[in-house]
Amino acid sequence: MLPHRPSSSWSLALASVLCTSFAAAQAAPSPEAPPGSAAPGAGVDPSAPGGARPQLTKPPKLLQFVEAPFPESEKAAGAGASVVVEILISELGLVSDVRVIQTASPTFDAAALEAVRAFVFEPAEIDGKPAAIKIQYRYDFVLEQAPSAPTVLRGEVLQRGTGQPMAGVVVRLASGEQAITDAAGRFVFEGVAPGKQTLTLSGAELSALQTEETLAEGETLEVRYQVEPIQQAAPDDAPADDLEIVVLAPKLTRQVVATRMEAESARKVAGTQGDVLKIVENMPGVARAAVGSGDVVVWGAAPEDTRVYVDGVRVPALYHYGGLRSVVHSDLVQSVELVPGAYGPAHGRGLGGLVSVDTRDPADDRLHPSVQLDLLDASLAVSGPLSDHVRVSGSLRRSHLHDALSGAIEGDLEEYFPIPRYHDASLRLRYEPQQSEWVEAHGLLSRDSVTRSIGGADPLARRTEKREIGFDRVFMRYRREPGDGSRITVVPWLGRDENRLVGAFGGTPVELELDAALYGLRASWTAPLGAAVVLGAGFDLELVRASVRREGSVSAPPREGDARVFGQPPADQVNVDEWRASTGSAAPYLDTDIALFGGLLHVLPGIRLEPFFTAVNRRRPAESDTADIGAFSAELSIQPRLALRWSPSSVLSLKAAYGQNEQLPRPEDLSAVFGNPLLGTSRAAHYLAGAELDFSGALAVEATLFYSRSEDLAVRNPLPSPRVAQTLLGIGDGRAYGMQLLLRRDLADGWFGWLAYTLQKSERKDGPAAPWRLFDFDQTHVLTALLSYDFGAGFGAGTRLRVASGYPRTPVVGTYYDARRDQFEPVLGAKNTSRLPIFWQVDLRGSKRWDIGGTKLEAYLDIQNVTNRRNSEELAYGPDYSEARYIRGLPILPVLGATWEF
Amino acid sequence: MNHRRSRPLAVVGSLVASLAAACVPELETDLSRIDQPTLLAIVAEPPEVEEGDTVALSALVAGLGEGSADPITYSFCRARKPLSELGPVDPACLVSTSADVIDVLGTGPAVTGLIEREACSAFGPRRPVSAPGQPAGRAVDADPTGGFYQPVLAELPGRGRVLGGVRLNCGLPGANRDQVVLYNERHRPNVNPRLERVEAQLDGAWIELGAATGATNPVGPGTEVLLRAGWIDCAQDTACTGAETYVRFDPELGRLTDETESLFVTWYATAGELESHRVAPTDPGLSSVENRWIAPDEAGPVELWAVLRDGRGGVGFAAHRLQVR
Repeated sequence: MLPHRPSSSWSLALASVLCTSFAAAQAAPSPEAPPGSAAPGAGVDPSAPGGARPQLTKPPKLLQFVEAPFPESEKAAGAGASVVVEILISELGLVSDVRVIQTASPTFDAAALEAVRAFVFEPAEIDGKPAAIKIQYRYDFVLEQAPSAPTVLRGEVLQRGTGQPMAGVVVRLASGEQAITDAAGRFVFEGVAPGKQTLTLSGAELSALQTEETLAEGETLEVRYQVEPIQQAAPDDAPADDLEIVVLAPKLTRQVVATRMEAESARKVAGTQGDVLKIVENMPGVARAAVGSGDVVVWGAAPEDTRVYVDGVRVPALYHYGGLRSVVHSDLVQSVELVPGAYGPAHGRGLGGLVSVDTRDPADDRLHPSVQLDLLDASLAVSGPLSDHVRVSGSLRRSHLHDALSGAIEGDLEEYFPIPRYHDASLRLRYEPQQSEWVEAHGLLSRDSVTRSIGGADPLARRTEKREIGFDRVFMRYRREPGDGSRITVVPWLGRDENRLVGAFGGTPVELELDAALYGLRASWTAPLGAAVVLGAGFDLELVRASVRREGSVSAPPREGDARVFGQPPADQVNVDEWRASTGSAAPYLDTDIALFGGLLHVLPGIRLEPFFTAVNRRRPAESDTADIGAFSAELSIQPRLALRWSPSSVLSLKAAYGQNEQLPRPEDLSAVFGNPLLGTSRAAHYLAGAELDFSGALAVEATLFYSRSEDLAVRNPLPSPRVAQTLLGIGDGRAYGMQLLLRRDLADGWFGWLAYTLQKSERKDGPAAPWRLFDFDQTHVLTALLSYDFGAGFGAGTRLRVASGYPRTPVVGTYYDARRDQFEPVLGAKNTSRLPIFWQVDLRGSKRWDIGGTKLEAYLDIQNVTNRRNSEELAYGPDYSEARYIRGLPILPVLGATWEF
Repeated sequence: MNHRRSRPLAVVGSLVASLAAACVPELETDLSRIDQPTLLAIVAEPPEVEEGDTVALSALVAGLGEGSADPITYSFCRARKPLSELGPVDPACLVSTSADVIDVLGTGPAVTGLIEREACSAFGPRRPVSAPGQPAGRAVDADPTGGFYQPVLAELPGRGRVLGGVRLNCGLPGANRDQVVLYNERHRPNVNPRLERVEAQLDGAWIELGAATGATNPVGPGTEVLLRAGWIDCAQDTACTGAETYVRFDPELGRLTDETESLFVTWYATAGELESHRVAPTDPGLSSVENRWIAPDEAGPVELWAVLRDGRGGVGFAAHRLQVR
């Protein structure tokens, strides 16, 4: 809005005196004479000599108008005024005298008098001769608005990641008007109608993208859109791949709080060895995982309660066993997003957060093979077209760290530092008959194995462990975007999970074998309904058929909340069970985005209607000559979700969300011996509220308060004489609350970074009568600072700082000797009332890229723990628990690697 | 060429060796050293009983010094441990004096106790009696040998309670009639193992050590002595003081299986340094174990104990005295 320009206007009381137009004043003549203004002849002295009544034969005519300045002191009031003056005009047409007869204010009066004195008239004539005359004149001061300036929408379209401008992008308004971005990526619309405008971005390499802007009258709105630099001519060092559009401003995300990271930035983070998905460990709301665990603990939820999806298909883990590598090759990852809670109704079955991995579309220009090698593993990846409509991408990776160490180490290092073996593979075929429609076939495979053997002659200290973990996924993806803003996606999938643990601890077997077949279907449809509503509907089905065998103590493997210490041998009371369990749900859902107040407020209600079922083949422990009796239970869950996002300005966004989730029991917990075949679902409700300041599209600050409450968690039966088949009960409660803060600078001008801090408390209650205690994975403070910079000429560097509270531990307050087993046992204090020391670590990364004959070779050196700090990762006790020492984390660890892309 | 190839591996090796050194704490607890009165074992005779049987309890206490004998208080623990307790006994039994929790049997070098009629419900495979209309209670899980134990507590004054156990013969509640008949036919109650000989290799020759109260065995200061403890070989399906064979009901296979006890020896000494605290035969067929002991540099008597356990609650021991000079 432009400021109002002061102006003045005048009117002459005499009908014959006409206002003349004047440019500067732009004043309209007052059509009405003020009260008491003189009629023609008024002011003529009737007592003039001569006896005969003089007649006005010609009225005076204003020849020179002088504009009075609007008094500065009156502008603030924002109102005009009128001053009525009496003017004595001489026979020469000059102003002989002037006086105020109706005042407005001293300042208005003075301004009016000064102006009027400079007026020049054509003299009046009486009886045909020029004569002096008095007239009344009303001088109007009017504070007028300037006429509306044209409303302008201008902006730029940039490549996300590099910040390079994108030329040739068609930006179209709903009115049909369109602009094409220039070489600088800029576009402009002038004279846009005020109010909400729907824009569509499209181009040869872009899927149609719609967004909305709200413009006030006369406003010039500057916007910036960042899209992925994919299929166009690649910049110097960017692979010419096909990437997905990401809009930063305005965000079109359905999640109120989410942290998303593009692969291009994530792979440069220090301490991740170039593994894109390890960036998740550094996101706000995520606790630091203990070394060698690979756990993803989000907002105080158990690691197994956070769901991981790859292209919409659930996978059991984000990382290989031990957390050395993620399960998806980094070259095939487009982006990863973490939603810590209160996510939309399209997802469910998890009490914790949501990790979504989007893989990169196969390249369409030519085949791009690449090889990678470092201390941990070697891999091969390829991406490219097979024909005009068919593209392919795939990868193979195998670890060699174990083999290298087996040849180099004498002794039994694995007793203390088991090194997992892993390999993974993926294949993706894409058939795209037209730009708006494609179908894909995917395959994912991951395998881990680790073997450990501890102890020699001592039969009680002897410990063996062989663990094999793996999963396979095969799925199709079909997507159609008709161009009207709607999108249809259908993903049917099959899978298999396996988890085998075979071992013994001092003669007590510890065995768990799980084979599960999974079947899933995910279908969704979204479309705009008018200008203010986006409607989504979908269907999410997942069935699991598991065969499980377990042998050993109910206390091994331990569960969250067990009162125990590290290295404590399990009880020697053992059992065995073999069972089958089927669980599943089929959830239709509705998701809506309603834009109100010109898009300033978005209301996103959603609902997920989810019938769950659980079936087991045995509801009681097996007994000789007794037929098994199965069990089936079902329940209907209605899970409302609601999110609000209010943007009172282009910089500030306020948001709030609520979501209710339910989670099926794990097949491992449905044993009649080790668990409870009749366990129901667990529930959680997430609440969050936050604010985001987005200063430029590249720099943003986000603060979020969160609270989650979970119920009906499976915990050990606390009774001394539990009922049969009730080793576990769904009576546990949980709560977590805190805040997270993220200061983020997206990749632009060669550098990016963030500062993430989470302050939180997570607690559990092991039954209605039990007190609240700290959750095993509670971390009060978690701070991560990342910084990465591209120096040019192929050189890059980055650093990472992590600070985190230690995990809670249960203190040992005494010990006693078990003479039957010849071993000491700890007497434990209150659960989780002590903590491991605080952790901090600094990592560095340096890289150099060379262009060699059309290929790109990048070498990197990733140095973890550059200060060689001896962080305490665990507390280990001596055999009689009289002495304890900390198990230290990794010392300084340089990892040298290289990637060669052809 | 080979030299150049091996170099990166050497670098990796040194790196990871440093990792291992960095990760593994060194705890120097020596469980074999006896420097104060210590209760090493609780001996039940017989070591396997049925409900309503009487059992004699005694204890091996080391480090008392010659001629002294602190009284030992023996109790049965009556509380069944909840499944949320990961240890071997309800923690209340370690501290409580309530009669609901502890059944005090008496004080002295040895006592006798009566196994309660419901012991197999509280600590065995028989399901606890439930209220009418209520589902049955959960049976206690057996140990890897198929055994169940009545918890026993023995307490030296001011030294805290030590946990032991008396093996319960509760039959096979989960098995069918044929299996029960076969089990009863073949089952032999456990017998406490006995150390037949404890020998030391001195000057290249094996010498049987004398009893603690008997002849002393001279050893030079700092001398490394190879020790050997042995027990008798047992024939199949016979009760004896060596590694017995026994039948166990395999709940997964649903049939009886033949097993052999896994014996091991725990060593203690008042001075010197034992190479291993606990030793099991390297081959299940062997009936002896070896250990190394380095005599102290100071002259004087050294008491040595070897405790033999059979994995089914049976225990035997031997005490010897060596003279460092």
